[in-house]
Amino acid sequence: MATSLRKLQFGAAAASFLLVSLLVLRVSSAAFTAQTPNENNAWSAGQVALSDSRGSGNAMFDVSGMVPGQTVSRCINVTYTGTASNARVRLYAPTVTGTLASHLNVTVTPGSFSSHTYPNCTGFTASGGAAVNGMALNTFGATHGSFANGVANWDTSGSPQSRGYRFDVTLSSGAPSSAQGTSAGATFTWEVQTYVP
Amino acid sequence: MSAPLKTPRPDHLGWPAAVIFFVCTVYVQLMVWLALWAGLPTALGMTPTLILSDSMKPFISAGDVVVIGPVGDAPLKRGTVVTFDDPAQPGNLLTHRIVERNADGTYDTRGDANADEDSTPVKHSEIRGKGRILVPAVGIPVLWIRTKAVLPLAAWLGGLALALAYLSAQRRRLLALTGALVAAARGPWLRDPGARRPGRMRTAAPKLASVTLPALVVIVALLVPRTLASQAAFAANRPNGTNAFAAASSFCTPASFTLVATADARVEQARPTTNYGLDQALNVVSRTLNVNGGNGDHYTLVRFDLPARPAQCTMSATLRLHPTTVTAGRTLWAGRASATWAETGVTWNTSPAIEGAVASLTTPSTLTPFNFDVTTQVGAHYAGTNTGFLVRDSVSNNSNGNQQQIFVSREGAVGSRPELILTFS
Repeated sequence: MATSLRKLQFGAAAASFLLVSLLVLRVSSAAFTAQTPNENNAWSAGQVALSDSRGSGNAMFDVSGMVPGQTVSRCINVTYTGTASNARVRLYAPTVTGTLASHLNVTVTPGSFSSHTYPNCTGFTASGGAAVNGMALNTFGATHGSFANGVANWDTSGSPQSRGYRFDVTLSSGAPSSAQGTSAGATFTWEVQTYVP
Repeated sequence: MSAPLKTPRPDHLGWPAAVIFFVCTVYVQLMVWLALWAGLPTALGMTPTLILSDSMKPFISAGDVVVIGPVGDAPLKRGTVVTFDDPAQPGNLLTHRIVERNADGTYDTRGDANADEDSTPVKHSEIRGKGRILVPAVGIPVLWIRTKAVLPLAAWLGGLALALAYLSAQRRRLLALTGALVAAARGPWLRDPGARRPGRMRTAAPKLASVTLPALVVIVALLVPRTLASQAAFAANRPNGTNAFAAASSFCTPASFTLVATADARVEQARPTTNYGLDQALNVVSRTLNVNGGNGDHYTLVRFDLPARPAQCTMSATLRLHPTTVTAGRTLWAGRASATWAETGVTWNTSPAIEGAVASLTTPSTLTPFNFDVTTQVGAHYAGTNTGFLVRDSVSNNSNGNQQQIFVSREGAVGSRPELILTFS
């Protein structure tokens, strides 16, 4: 059956215009309607994720009775388990509190483990120099407190992929007697973000 | 009058061709409308933003274009999708959803597909705009170019080229047929310019087809330089929280020392040039000096080698002398010697005096050890030179007879030698 070309053209234009406009309006409304994001809405494509060797424990350090010159060490293994190929991992200290923090010197050295029992450092081998070398804990928090100025930058090259970290925390030998009985608290966070290559 | 036509009218198609024509037109038109939705709002001051990754799924995917409009100064509500300068990766743009407005005016944001919030809050001034229009998939070819996805790009361009070629071929065919008809229809009126000409055969199809391609080109030219590219970064973090460090209540490593004198000697006023350093007796006497010599005062000098002082400790020090003779009720003084002295050389004439504070002691009547609290004096030794101690009666040349104490020197019996007890705690 013969069909008017003109009618076809107009029909096609109208149909596609309606289609597109309805689609745009619908998805715009869905995306931009103010809503509370679902906490568990994890998508499978290009996801990033980290795990570490703590298991069920939380903090690496819980030390008391420190005297000047004393060093405590802990080692931890961090693993990238995401699917995104352009992933970058950094370490930073978002929260540092307490007056003792200015007398605690922190050294963080990345490396790898031949074998690892958290939090021991047996089996750890450093690779390259320290990412943080004897920096006061309060300075660490002030200058490396977010991903943007995080340390120990690690661009992953596969998944799963692991990296070990050794933390040495020393109470400075020059700590004054006013530091006796004081304390400090800190959070060390590893974060992975995708980046534009 | 027109000749009767046996073939279908030139602006008509058979149904198979009609379907293909319809599909090709819709295919091209879809992209035109999508591009228009993304590009035209630029005229209203909005900005198309190409989304580069999937962290805002399921609503916004890579390849979508989010057209953002300006934000004012008023606080933004939770759930608003905003494009902002990524504080965690300077130089990049991020398009995420506001989760919370903080007390300091910054916003916590999160990609819908991320398990964790973005770790760095966003300042209001860093926000470029808020999402107004979502144009799905229109930016996918640009993504293909960025990621050098040659195959999909070639397939899409191929399909587009084929559709446009088909539409253009139909147009040419129509124009050729229409031109012949007009000439035929016009023929009889050519010699009569005053006669009314028939209306030109409408060819709506060629007009639309010839408008589509230029429109597409114009829109792309408008869009490409104005489009921002926004990373919707995936992020996840592992906090290692509440690491606790507590200093000891005291930095002192406690220690105690019982030291035996390393030098001691008595000096006698009546024998002012005689050294008694190797004698077994140390005397403290207060007695009138005879005009012809004899009697007079006796002083004791004693010195100890001090150990390295432990840091951060409180010290206490006791000088202990073991008597063989006591005179009760006397006030004795022990103090820091004002100068160094040699055990085998010091005499009354060359003896130092007491410098600074004195430790006092009232003598008992029994032969029990005499303990002087010399904490201050030992502190002065550590701060300066270790000159030892001088012990004497508080009264010089007492006129009431022989007020004497006699102690065992370091040359005497073990266990009775002069001692310095140091305690650090």
